[in-house]
Amino acid sequence: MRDFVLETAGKLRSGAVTSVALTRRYIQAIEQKNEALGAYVHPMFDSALQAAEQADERLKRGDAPLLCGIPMTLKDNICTKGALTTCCSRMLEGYVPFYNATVWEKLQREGAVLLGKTNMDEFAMGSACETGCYGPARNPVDPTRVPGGSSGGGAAAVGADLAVYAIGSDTGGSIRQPASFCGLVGLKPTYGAVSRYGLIAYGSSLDQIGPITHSVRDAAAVYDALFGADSRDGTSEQAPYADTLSAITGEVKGLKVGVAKEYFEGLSGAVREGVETAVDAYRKMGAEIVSLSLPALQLALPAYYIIACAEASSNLGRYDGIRYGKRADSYRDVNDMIAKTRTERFGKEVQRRIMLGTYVLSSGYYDAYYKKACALRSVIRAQFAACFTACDVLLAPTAPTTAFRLGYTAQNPIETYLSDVCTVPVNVAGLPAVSLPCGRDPEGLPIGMQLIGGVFDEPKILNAAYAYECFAAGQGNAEGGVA
Amino acid sequence: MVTESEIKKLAKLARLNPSEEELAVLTREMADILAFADTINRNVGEAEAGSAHPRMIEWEALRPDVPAESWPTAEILQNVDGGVDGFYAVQRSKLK
Repeated sequence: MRDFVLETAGKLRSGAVTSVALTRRYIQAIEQKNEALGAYVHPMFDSALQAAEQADERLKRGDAPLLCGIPMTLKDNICTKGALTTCCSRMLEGYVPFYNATVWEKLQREGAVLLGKTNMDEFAMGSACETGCYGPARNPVDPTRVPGGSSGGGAAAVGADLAVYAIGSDTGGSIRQPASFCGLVGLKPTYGAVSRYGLIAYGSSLDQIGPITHSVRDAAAVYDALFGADSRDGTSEQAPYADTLSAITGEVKGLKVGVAKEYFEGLSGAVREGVETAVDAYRKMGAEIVSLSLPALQLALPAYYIIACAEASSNLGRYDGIRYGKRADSYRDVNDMIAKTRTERFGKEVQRRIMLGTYVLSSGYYDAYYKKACALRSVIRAQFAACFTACDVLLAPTAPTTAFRLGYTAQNPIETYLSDVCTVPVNVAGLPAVSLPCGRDPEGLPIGMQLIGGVFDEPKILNAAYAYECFAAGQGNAEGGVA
Repeated sequence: MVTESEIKKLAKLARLNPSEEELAVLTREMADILAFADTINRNVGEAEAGSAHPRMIEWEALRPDVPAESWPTAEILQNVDGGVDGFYAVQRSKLK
């Protein structure tokens, strides 16, 4: 697997290419391919070229950080001062923030070149990148398939080589599942590892920002730039800094890899085979495989939807056409204005989740749903913690299937929600997880597996992921499969 | 089983105004979703309500409350069509 970020950084440093030339090349590719792919919703070519010029000056001076001059993307729910940030919703049509998200501030300091904002499910609610107001994004591996969601635009951009890396957000798998569907690496960091300041909130106790890249080492390099406490995000943690990229050696001899049987229920045959082959690969690399059980996993999905929708109904209450949101054109009075604004400008999936959130928080149902889901969250956390006394990392599939066809998800909400079954437990527990490719199904679609660690175990999971990446490449398959 | 009148009431609480047709679809979908969400009530035995706190990560102390400069008014008003005398002008609405 090629380290696109690290290779590009090397070329920029050696002078083999300039950031301006590279950025122009990416702009040209976006102009050619984006209409068919729908990866970008707000291209930012002029500012990208300006940033590239500044990056070239820093590179010439020799004081440029690792990510300086590298063209990249941000998901459309990450605030960028002076540039459209719409969450792919008609509600935020024309919204231009007057402040930057902390992650974007950090990347700007690194000298990152932002090519544009990428497509997503509206307000990050979806698993297919189909619910946004700008239309669907498509999977670069097979354009008749979805790229996954909600950070599908970022994954499509990286997969089609329309950006070197993408920054997404993961509330219930929105980085890992698109990475899996597009044959990429996606890291969901520990809750609190990366500041959420400037990330437009969906489920505040679940949301986390992270990278989508071509390789594990690339993901580590970008994560190192994003990591860190932020006084503007009270939930960000003062964890000791560990240089993740340097910590990656690929050595996994003696590592205890846990495999929980509950993760393997309801998988497609190809996914099961792909992930079981990866388990064998770890055995061959000298890791110890530990069989485990996480019974609460079966309840993580309903608990997740209760908590996420409850938080969404509260977070999205601000979109009333007064405080936030583009107001309805005509209305009778202020109540009519608020209802019309919200009904006309929120999409159907967003409205459905607001309704569910309102229901589980309403008098008479709060104890039965929300309070129990929160209690269950503690049980899930405790079961994960117990697992990590018996193993170092957990290995699981990222999604029960490979990428599905465009339009398929719109038919049945529960079936759509079930596609998140493997990813949501990690968000409920606040743990880090990295998804990486582990082969292809008979139709040539990528299969993804995830490595899950304890709180702030990013170096450990990325090291284990890198070991597999090297092993797969050694078997002659750069796309992760070892079969 | 959730009824259409409950969904109507819920929509009012959520400040949404679905059409009659949308209401019927929502009622059906919400019934499915709530049946699914209800699985926690059928299986949650060991997770007794009240035994847990929803916050996931404990932090030792809140940061000091340091006053900071507010955003420049001109920058804030860039987000609206136009300010009036340094304020955000809201269209007058007639109340019933």
